[in-house]
Amino acid sequence: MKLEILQENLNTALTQLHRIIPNKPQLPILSSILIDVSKSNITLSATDLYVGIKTTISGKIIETGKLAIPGKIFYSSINSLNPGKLTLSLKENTLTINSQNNKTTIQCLDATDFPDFPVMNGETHSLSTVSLENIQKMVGFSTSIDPTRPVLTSLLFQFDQDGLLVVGTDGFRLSTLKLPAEKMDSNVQFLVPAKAINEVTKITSTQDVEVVSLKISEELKQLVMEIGSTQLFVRLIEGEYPPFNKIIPTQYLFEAELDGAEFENQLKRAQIFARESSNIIRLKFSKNELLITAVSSSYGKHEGKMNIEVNDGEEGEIAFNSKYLLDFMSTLKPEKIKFLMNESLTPAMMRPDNQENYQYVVMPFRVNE
Amino acid sequence: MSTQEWSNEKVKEVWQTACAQLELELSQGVFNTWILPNPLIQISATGQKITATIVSPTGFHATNLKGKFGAHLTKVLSGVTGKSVQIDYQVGNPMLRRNENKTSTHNSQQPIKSNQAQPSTQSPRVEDLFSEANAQSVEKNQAQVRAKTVGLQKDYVFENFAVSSSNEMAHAAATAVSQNPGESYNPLFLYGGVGVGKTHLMQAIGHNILLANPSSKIVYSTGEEFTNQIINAIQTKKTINFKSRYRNADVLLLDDVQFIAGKNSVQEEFFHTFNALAKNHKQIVLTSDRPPHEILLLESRLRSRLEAGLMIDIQQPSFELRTAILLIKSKSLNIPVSIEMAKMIAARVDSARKIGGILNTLKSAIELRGKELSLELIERTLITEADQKRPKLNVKINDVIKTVSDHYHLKQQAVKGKSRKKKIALSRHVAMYICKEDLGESYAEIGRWFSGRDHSTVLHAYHKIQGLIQEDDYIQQEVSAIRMSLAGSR
Repeated sequence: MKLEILQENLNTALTQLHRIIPNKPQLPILSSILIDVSKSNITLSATDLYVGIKTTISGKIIETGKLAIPGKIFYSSINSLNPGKLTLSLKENTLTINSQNNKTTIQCLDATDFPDFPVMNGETHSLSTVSLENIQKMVGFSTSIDPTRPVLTSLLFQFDQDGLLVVGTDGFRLSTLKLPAEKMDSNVQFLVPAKAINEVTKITSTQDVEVVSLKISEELKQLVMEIGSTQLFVRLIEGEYPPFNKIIPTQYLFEAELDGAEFENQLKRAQIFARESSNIIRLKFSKNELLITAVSSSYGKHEGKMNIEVNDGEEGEIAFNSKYLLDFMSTLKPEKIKFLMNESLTPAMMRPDNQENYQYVVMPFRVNE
Repeated sequence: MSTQEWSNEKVKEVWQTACAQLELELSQGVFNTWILPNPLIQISATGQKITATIVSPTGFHATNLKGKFGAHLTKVLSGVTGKSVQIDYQVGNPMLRRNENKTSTHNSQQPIKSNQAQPSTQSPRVEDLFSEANAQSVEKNQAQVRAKTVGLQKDYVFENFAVSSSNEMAHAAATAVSQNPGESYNPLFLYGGVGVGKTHLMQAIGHNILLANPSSKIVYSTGEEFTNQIINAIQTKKTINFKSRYRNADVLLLDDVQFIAGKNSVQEEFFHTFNALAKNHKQIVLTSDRPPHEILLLESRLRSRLEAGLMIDIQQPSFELRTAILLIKSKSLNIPVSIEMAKMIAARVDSARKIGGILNTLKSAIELRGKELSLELIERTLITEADQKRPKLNVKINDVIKTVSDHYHLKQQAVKGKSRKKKIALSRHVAMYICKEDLGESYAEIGRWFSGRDHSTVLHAYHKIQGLIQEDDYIQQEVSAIRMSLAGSR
């Protein structure tokens, strides 16, 4: 195998790949990257058997061949080189990398031991990159990181007549986002690990692509997302998603508009005292005013006031874990938000002022007076 | 040839034997990566052939197990079982599958139980957002919000409706209607004087129906709103919207229906709406201040339809009921009224609505002027509030005599005359009482109409009836019925 390639191109590809390479796998081949050079393509692959990435890069192919190379060391050494032309050649399981002033040789493994990627056949959906980035930003943060509840670490994708609905929840709060997508006659639902969506958005940010295609294989419980020349293989999560529709109030008795930046600042101030007492922050809405209180049993008390605009209802009182409010405010950074609630013990809802297709529903704290 | 499934124990045994063999033949890394995570979970035998189902955690595992170790695995499994084996590769969660095979799943429920032991003041738990209670409260909330959009008042529910003999019929009928809308009594026609609770019962029906089925379409409107909407619809040429709003309703609640009397096109529209709903067994509830046959100017075809359902008359609240209403209202207003105080107010105030007014005055006196709740304060409030005369009836003394004698089925001459028969005397006293109380005539003038009686006779009659009204519900109902007829005959 022999090829000439630009360090920039190879490095970009390896940046994507090396993240998923497992640290100390039981099977040494799993820590390697497969380089497959055919007549027309140079393909790099890596997998930890749960996630897999395959990407093609451009370069000048001189001789075809296949090799599996220890991933971390390969990435580090390529990354350390200056931009410019590299020549890679394989001789008896040793890869030689020649650049202008450097020559590196790396011992390779048997390429035939490298795991095969599953062959996928199934339905394909396409989604714009912007949509995916919105999903990651607006819904992704609501998911749980607790591995004992895999369903809650995932995002629900539901394609139906209205488009695509994405839901994320950790059991305390819940985000839903409705997006335009090709219309489906029947409902298609699947659970994608939130981590995988993070990964995809990292890839899309380095590539100039507008549409990502999603291919689902029910049988293999596998999802492949194709971002330009890169394919991301993800294991779908199995399980029953919580009945999210049942707990989203359809109408609210109280509705107010809040300035985003000010609300976030108020929350941060209150948070200093809330930290002491399981992050409890109390919100008291009255006519034109919101009172934010946090009490620390050992240090004292904080009270903050801000002006609000009440659209509906008269007053409301509710307590939250400040983390759930701050998560929302600091991830979305909305200019203005709408706050909607019913009673102090039922879920409340927030959304950026201009985003009717989005809902952030939070379970309040049960606070005894 | 029938297919037989091997028992779990046997499958486990086969897999353990196969694993022991494979572990020797393969390197540890290969065995741990490619064999161990992909357990054999099921064997079904058809004659000499058996199908072994292997579950892999991911498509990667399945693909590579099949491609790289398929032949080897088949050989080993055939060796262990002594039959020719075909392997079915599946992707799934082997742990889940195993649990499914077990008869009970108490294992998976344990963590939830331990969480429930935590005190309720703690941070919300993972189950909380999706808890049954939450789903229910959201549902209830949706019903409340719907009720608000429909225009029902949230206090007007069955829970705070006090029941006694004067309204128990109406209450029972309303409850039945709210439980089986469109089936039990259709239409339900409630009538009675001011402040007897017609609107309360009607809205309570709406609330109850919404609670059972938040998506049912309820239209609540008063006779006046109905009239205005028609006029508006005709003006803007949008009668079609109006029609679809009313005729697609599941439940129509029309308050103060007497208002549409005498307005022909409104009655026409109501008649068609009524027919459209009744035909589809949609519930209709109507209230009025008097029964259909007393609503003059009501078209006869409409009247007959209204009379076809259940008509219930709600009487003026009795003393006991007024006391009960007072206690309920004072509770919701947060005024600690004792039974003694409640009795005192109820004895002096005759309508439920006035009770609300008295309580509001008391509340403001307590909260704004810092007075203490006492019998004395109540006494003073009652003097200023309750003893204000009700609006005078715009009728003459001879109208009163006529109506009273009609009511008791007596001749006018008898009522005016000198007979001292108990029934006649009572009716005479009632007539005198109304003339004084509602018409504000002088005692002497009233006496002149009743065969030139002395003013002290009239005074006596007035005090007698006044006392009887406080004690005797029957007399009170009679008097209010006569008042209603007088007001209606205007």
